[in-house]
Amino acid sequence: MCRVSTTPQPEQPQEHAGIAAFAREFARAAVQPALPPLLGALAIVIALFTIAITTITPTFMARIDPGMLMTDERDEFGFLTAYAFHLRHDPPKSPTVVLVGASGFQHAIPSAKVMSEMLSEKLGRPARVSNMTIGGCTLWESASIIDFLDDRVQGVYVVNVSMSKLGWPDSRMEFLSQSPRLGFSTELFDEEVREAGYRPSSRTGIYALDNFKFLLARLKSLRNIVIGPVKISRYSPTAHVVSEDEWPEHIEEYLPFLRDYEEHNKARYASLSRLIEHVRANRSEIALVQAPMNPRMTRAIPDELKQRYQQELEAFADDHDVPLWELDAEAHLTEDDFRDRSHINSPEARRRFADALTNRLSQLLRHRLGESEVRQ
Amino acid sequence: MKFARYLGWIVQALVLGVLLFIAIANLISVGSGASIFRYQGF
Repeated sequence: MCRVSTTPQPEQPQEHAGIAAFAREFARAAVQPALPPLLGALAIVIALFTIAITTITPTFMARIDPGMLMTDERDEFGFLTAYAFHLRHDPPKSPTVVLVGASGFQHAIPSAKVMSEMLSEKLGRPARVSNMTIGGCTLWESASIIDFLDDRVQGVYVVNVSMSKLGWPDSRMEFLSQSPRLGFSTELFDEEVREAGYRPSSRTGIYALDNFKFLLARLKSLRNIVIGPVKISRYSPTAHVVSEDEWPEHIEEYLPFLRDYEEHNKARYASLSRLIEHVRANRSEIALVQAPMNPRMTRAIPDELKQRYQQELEAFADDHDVPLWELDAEAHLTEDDFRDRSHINSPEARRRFADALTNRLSQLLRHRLGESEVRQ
Repeated sequence: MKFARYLGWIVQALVLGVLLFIAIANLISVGSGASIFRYQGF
C-alpha cells in the first residue's frame, strides 16, 4: 500500500521566496534604465550592422530564395535582383534565352517554365528561358541586367523595345543614378549615367554598402525570416480593365511619351547601340522585340509618327544587324486581348504571342548552336 | 541576485539593441530617400 506523507515541506516557502526575489530583480534590471544595458544595446547595434555588412554579399544573394528579399508580391526589383545573382552564380548549361523588358512584354508571355517547354519542344533539345522582365523597367535597367549576366550567361538576350522606352529623356537618369532600383551596379549602367550627364555613385567594393538604399528599402522583408519567402505575382487577374468611358483619357496619357520619342530617340538609340556592342563582345546574341500594343492605341497614334518610328527602328536594326521581331500580327492580337493600351489580359493571346516568339527564338538558337558546333 | 540583474540587463540590451538597429536603419533609409519605386512613378 502506498503511503503519502502529509507533513509540510519546510524548504518550499523559502524556495518560492527565492524565485520571487530572483524574478523581481530580473524584472527590475530588465526595465530600469542603466548604463550597462545601454552600452550593451549600442554594442548590439554595431554588431548587427557589422553582421549585415559582412553577411549580405553577392554569394549570400545567390543563395537566398529570391522571395526572401521581397517586401510584397509585386516587389519585382527585389525578386529580380536575387534571381539575377542566382543565374550568375549557377549559369544554365542548356541553351539559354533571357527575356528583358517592361510590363507590356511581361504580360505578353506565359511563365518561364511554359516558355522553356515550348522552346525546348521546337528546338528538339532542352533550352532554358529566364524571364527577367519587370514592370516599368527602363532601357538603362535592361542594359544593366544584361551587363550583370552576359559574361556568365551566354545565349540570346531578347530586349523589349517600344516607342515610349525609346523616348526616355536623359533627365530621368538623375533619379535612377541616385536611387537605383536594382540591387547591383554595372559598368554599362555607369556608362549610361555618364552619357546622360550625371555622375555614377562612388563604390566601396563592399556589396551591402554599395547597395544600401536597395537593401534599406527592403527592411520590411526581415519579417520573411518568420513568415517565409513571398511568392511573386506577375499577372493580376483582377487588374483594372479600361472601360469605354476611360479610353479617351487613357490615350491622352500616352501622348507625352510619343512627344518624348521625337525629342529623345537619338540618345536612346545610342544607348541601345552600346548595349548591342557589349552583348556581342561577350559572345552572346541580342534580338529586339516590339512590345505588343492594343490596335485601338495603335490607331490613335498619328500615322506620320508611326511610320517614322517604324522606319527608324528598322533602319537601326539593319545597321546593327540585329533581329527585330514584331509579333502582334503573327500572334493575331485583337483589342479584346488587352486590358488597356499595352497589357495583354488573355492567357490564350499570351500563348499565341509566346508561340510566335519561340518560333523566332528556335531559329536563332539553331543558327547559333550550328555555328558553335562548327567552331568546335 | 547578481545573476538575475545581469540576465535582466542582457534582455534589456537585446531588446533595446534590436529596436535601436531598426530605428537607425529606418532613419538612414528615410534620410537617404531609399524607397521602392515601381513602374515609372518617379
